[in-house]
Amino acid sequence: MSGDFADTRRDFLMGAEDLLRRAAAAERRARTAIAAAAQDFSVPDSLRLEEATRNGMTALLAQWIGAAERQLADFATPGAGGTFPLLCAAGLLNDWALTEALIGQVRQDQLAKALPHQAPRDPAQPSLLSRFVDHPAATIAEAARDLLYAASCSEDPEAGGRRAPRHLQARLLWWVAAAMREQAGSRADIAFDEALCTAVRAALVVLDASSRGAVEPVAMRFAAAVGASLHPVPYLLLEALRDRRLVLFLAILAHAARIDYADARALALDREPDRLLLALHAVGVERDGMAQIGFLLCDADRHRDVAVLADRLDAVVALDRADAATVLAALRLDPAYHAARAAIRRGAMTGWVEGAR
Amino acid sequence: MPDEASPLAIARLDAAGRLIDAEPLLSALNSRAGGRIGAPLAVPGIAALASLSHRLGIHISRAVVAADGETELDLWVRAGPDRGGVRLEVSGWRPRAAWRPATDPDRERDFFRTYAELRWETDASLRLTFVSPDAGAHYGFDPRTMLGQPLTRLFALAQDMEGQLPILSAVSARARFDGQRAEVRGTGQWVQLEARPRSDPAGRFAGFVGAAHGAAGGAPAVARGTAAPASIPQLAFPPGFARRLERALQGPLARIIAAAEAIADAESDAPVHADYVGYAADIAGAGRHLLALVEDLADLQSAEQAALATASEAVDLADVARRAAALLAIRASDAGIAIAPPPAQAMLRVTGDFRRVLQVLVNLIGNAVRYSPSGGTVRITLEQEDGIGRVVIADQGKGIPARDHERIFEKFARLDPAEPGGSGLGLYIARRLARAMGGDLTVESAPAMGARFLLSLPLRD
Repeated sequence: MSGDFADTRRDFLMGAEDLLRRAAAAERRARTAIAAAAQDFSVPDSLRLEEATRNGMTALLAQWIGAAERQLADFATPGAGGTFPLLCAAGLLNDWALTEALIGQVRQDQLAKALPHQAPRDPAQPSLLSRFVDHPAATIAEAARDLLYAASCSEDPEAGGRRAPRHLQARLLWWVAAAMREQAGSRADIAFDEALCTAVRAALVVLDASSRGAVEPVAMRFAAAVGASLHPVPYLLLEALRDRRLVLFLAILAHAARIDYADARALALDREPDRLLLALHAVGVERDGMAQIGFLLCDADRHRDVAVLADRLDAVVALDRADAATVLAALRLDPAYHAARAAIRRGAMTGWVEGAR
Repeated sequence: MPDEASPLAIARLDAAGRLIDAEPLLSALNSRAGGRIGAPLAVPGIAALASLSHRLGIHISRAVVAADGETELDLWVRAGPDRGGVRLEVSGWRPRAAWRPATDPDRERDFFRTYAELRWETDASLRLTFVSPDAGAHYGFDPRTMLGQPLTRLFALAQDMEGQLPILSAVSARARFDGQRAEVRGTGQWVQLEARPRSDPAGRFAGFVGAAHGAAGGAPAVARGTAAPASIPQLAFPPGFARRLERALQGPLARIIAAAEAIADAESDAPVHADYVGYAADIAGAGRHLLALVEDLADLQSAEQAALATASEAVDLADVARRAAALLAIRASDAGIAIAPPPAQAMLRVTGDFRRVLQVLVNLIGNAVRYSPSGGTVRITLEQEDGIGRVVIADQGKGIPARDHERIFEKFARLDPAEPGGSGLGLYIARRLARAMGGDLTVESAPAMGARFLLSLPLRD
């Protein structure tokens, strides 16, 4: 009997340690939950994601992660399922750059889809890109053809999904690789790790070489090939939007304003018209053109207020072009500088310490 | 939507939105709405458009529905800056009809996806703007080199049996077409092209959404005096599958649509966030879209089977008409509509397929019941002349304008887009069946004069 007592007591002690460990972990989780709830609670309704956008972002991220998983398929553990849940639990989604890219893509697609079809003034005149396909300069014709093809591929769901922007692809690949390593568990050893890293580096090289699934860079190349010499930028901008080629519109704007595509997109997706109007003014679009561009965007997005557009138009036009260009000048500063400034401002705003990234 | 024949009324407003002058049609409408020269425009939709155009300083064109007494008018309004004020051009001037041709390019594109490997789209000048990227490997061409090129670079078009190119007629008529045979240029492979026109909000032609499928081998039956019917695309389903699928999906889809509409129609004091009301409306719309798609597939498969096998037997049109009327008697009386079938002793023997004739007549009488005013009568009469036996279904509904007499027989010309049931392929298939039996299906109608549908078949002694 005394032996039993001793055994029971030892088990009891081990049970107690385990319990205390668990209690400490539970307390940490409870504090994290309150911190997350505080952040969620403090977000004003006007800043909340719409369900449609949120769902679009989830679906798109699943595509991006799926693409990364396919590239590393050799390292998947059979029966372990996808890496998405693991990455979610690890807090992957709470990433500024990732969110910005997801929202940008999803809302760009929503806006492009909602643009109205327009019949041309002259029915015999081919649409914008079709005209450029005939251009005598081979670089321009090729660039136009590439853009039409890339756009065709992106519209066809069977032709493969969307790709993440280049600056995120590397990050996603590493994350997915790490998740796969965790899923492999005891099966993995240092050789597995080395092979995985080699595979990621090889996958990055392959991604650099291929252009399928990426319409935006192709559009930027076209915008660069055409330049401003052939047609005035205001004309191209309006024609692109009338032709429902939103990506081309953004690429032309980005190129003319000498800013990144993502920045041009952010200007256009902004439901307040001020920044876009300033940018358009700075690249030489006249009042009429600005009104027509603004009106097309209002038609396509019910959250935009045409009255606000009308109000701002005259004010923006009255500005000196050089002054209007200051909004663009800020965008041209180094992205790392902007990111660091933004991070400092965010840190000051939330003061969130628990579970900091 | 504007067309060349519709009247145009011009008006001018001053900088404060007051009416300076207006041509008679618009002036009269404005007066009836309580306005006058020198006062702001009294028709709300037009006034709002004018104000917007004035503030933005650009030309804007929009469809406006204007209430005019008991009726509503479909107007197309163009507003633009003019000497500090606004100039208005108002066309259309058609009463809002119950019958509106459905315009839904997305539905066509989904439909094409079910049976066509090669889909294509063009701009208004018929340059290719989209080609299925993976179809090139199958047919032996490089999609990348075809984009931006004229459609004819990819497809060498063949004339039909009357020496016409269906696609050209379709462009000038801004209509859909099928049965344009073509060779995928340079490959020796023959396909059948079909497409539907895209319109901009003003109704102008903005390109085609199209598909190509393998042309069926062998010559289809030629109906007397009519062009050879285009071969129906082959659905790779087992026989009857699509109809069973339709029945299986109808129940759940109807529930989805009903529930979503209940949310969308929620009163504003119910605690439903505005966004969710929009989502609910989207769900209902998508549900109806899906239901329509499945119905169309089922009907298409029926038509495919029917066209392959129409019997050629003695049919008594009077007898079939009476049976069809009996089948619809309950639905008619529920709607307060009487059906007047041919008298019990009447007889009219023709050559046809009993089941198919019954199917066509049920479709026609069903439509007539749907479009008759309560208390009205659907009359079924018989005629014969020149070796043709005819059954005529006449209703007292709103009638069909002449310009739509051919359009209603096209695929997806849904008679009432708001109604969840009712196949968009009904009249299309009915006419195909009629022609496959050696006869025809035509319509006689004018607005406010009801409609008469005439099914003609060869007489048999």
